Amino acid sequence: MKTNSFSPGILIPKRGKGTRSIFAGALLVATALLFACSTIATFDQVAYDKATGAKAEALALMDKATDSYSAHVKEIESVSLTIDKAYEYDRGRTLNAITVQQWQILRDPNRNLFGGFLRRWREKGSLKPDYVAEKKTDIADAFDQITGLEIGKRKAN
Amino acid sequence: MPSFDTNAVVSTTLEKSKELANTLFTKFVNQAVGDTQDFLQRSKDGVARAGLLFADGKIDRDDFEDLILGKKDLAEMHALKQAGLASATIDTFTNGVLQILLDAAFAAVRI
Repeated sequence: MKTNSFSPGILIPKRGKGTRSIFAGALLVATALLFACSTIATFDQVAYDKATGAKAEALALMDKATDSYSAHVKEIESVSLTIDKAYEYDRGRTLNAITVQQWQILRDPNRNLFGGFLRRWREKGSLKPDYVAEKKTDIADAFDQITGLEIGKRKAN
Repeated sequence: MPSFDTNAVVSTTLEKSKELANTLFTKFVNQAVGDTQDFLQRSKDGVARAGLLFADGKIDRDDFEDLILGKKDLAEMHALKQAGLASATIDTFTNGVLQILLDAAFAAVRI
């Protein structure tokens, strides 16, 4: 097969020296441009650790929801703060809108995951054991959707 | 005189990019299908358990509704995860193609 052979004009120094480095430079520019086209954040170990830690704390707190809400206010505030920190950390990362949306669903008191669970606990005073047990599987699953996405993000080069 | 075989670069890049796409996207689709099937099964089991708890009087109507609406929120989170994983796969492909292009381009330079 016939191939196109050409002298790349401006890329070729007059004495032919340094061609490779100029060529490599041009390709590096192309590399930078393509990296700029990333669509989602890369994996972040800190974000992953914060989410798994928040999951463990949230599930442990849920076990106490058969008791009165008022008896556990400090623990509730502590776990809520842990979750807020994880959310804010993810909110500060670039190209991380999808994970932020996941946290918003999980935390929203007007929806039916962890935020909604705390609201119901506060409103009812205490919750039924069978309800709490069933709800824990959903909350665990919700955290797993966040950590599952984090794990699936590409490793940074 | 330096030369650069552009045809070789293009054909190598296209060929290897096809292989990469086939590997990456097939793997993604298989994982997404498996993950979604697991999720749907868990949701179905959860709805069934919630129904039984309500029927047995172990939870009230309000609890039951919350459990069912929670499945809807979970489904949304699952869909977001899949969307994110698709984006990550596209990024992996884009960067893979770039690496293939770089390798092919350097291989084609003849000084």
